[in-house]
Amino acid sequence: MRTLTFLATLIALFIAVPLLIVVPMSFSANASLQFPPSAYWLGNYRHFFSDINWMQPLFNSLAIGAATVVLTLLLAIPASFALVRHHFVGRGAFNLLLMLPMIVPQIVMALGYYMYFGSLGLTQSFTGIIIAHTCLGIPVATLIITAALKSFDNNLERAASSLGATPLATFRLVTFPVLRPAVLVAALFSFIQSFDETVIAVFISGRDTATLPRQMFNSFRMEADPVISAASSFLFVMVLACMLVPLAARLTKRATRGSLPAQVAH
Amino acid sequence: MPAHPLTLHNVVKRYDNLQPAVDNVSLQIEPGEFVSFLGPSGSGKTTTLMMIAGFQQPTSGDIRIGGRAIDQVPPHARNIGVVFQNYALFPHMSVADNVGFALRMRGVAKAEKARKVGVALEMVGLGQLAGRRPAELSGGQQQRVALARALVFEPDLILLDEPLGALDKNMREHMQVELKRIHQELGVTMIYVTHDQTEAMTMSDRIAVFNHGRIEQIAAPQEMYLRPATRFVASFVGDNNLLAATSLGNGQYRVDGLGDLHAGDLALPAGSNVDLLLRPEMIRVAEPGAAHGTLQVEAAVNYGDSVLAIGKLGSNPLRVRIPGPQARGLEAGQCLPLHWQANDIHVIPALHA
Repeated sequence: MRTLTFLATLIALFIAVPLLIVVPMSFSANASLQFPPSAYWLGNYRHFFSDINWMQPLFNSLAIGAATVVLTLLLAIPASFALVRHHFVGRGAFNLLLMLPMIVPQIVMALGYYMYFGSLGLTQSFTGIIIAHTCLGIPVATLIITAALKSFDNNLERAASSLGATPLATFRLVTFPVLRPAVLVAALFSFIQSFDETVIAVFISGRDTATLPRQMFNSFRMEADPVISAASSFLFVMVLACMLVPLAARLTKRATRGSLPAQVAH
Repeated sequence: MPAHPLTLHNVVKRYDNLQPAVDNVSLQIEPGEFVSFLGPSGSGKTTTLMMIAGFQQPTSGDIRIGGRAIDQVPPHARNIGVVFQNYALFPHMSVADNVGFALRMRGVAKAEKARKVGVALEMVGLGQLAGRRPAELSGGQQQRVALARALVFEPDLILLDEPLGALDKNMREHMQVELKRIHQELGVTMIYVTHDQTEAMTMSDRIAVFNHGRIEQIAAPQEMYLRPATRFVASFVGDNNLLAATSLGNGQYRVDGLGDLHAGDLALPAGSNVDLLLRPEMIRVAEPGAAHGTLQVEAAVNYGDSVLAIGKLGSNPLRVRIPGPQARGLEAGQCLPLHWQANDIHVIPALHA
């Protein structure tokens, strides 16, 4: 047991080490990336938040992430219903196709997009990145929503219709609300996926459409500017917040629910 | 109150080209009746219920309410309440919102809706719990909410699909009584699907016994118990002894390994095969000299109020239920002289193959 605990701690440390280096470095007063820093200040953050060369990519990333979420859900929700509720010729192949972006190496995807979007005139455009990120987001979103749909009790829909709900009302008032947590999780994952995606962004986003990870990559390659550690920390905190907010919401909800005295069956 | 009978006419449901799930079912249910569909799993009782609700379409035949065919009417326009075995309560809504759902769909004004929801919840004894979520209720409470939800909009018909199947025995008995009370108070037609024959016997006005997609018999519980139409019904409803016999004419029947018995005369041609049904509680311990046969007791199961003697009558296995006082000291290995009335033996003609 003690060995296991030790091992688990070691693994946790191993995962956390990059963060333990990057976050302190973001407060470094040194002019170059060096660890441990000799002095601390908030200059990197001031620089990050006041430089249009950082703020523009941040804004781009947020906008691309939001658009990716919308597009991913618009495609993944109907696809999940088709996969779970209907038997059609080629369902297995269709399922595999949806999962491909998860299997194909990202550098291969990126190269493909670079050449294909080039001929369509979509490189260096928001549309191009949003489409590429949506493709990346679809596998996980579909996995999450199909799983929820498989455990969905079809009698709920039958009950609603027996009570007078039209198919549309049934979807709006029963099916969707019951699936909503899964849809939110799918939205979250596709946002994070897009928000921290680097490889494709490096290949196809241009100067005006650069995302935050692309800007970080450029900055690192060109000058090893210490602002990059502030950007990294910020990116990390954003993603962390995305994960923690729904969790906190759920815990609060459970806490208020749990305060009701449980009625004992008689 | 609705005054329309429900009629099923030659209803068939076929999935693929296999044995049909529902095979030519016809029946009529009068307004206000409590009818049970009783049968083993896969006998077509639930499929029939789902077709009445509109969740499945008959392959052929028609379903009418008050003479109007409802085959083309979608489930949401049928005005039929359904209670599911797994309750199927909407998990994201409060108890009151679950119960009020049908009224919301019908555009009932807020105050009127609140009043009706209150009445329905009172009826099932859950007035205090309107604000709860389904997950915060026990199984029995959830089933009551499901019932209130299915009756609040005063449907023509309420369909119950093994509604008590997931409850423990005490709660189940309690809910049976509740359900009967509500049926009597509202006078609404109810169709109750179950595989539990006791449940069907105690609650129903009539029982339809399903087997292999067909209705074997539809009759009042007592009638079904005393005069089952087929061997299957006899063995499915109640404890039983079935003796294979051959008709000799004039109410005489020959049972292999036992001899000749006298029972009701069905005017069958001599030599026809029949089954003789002799319920265990119809057999008595004989006074000296009046025995029709002797039971070789192989086991005596004491129920407190009675003893079930299991043994052989000639070469035929037989079960005899003896009231407690007469059964003192009864044990395996004894011989028990038996007596029965000829008219307590029910004769079931064998099915023509």
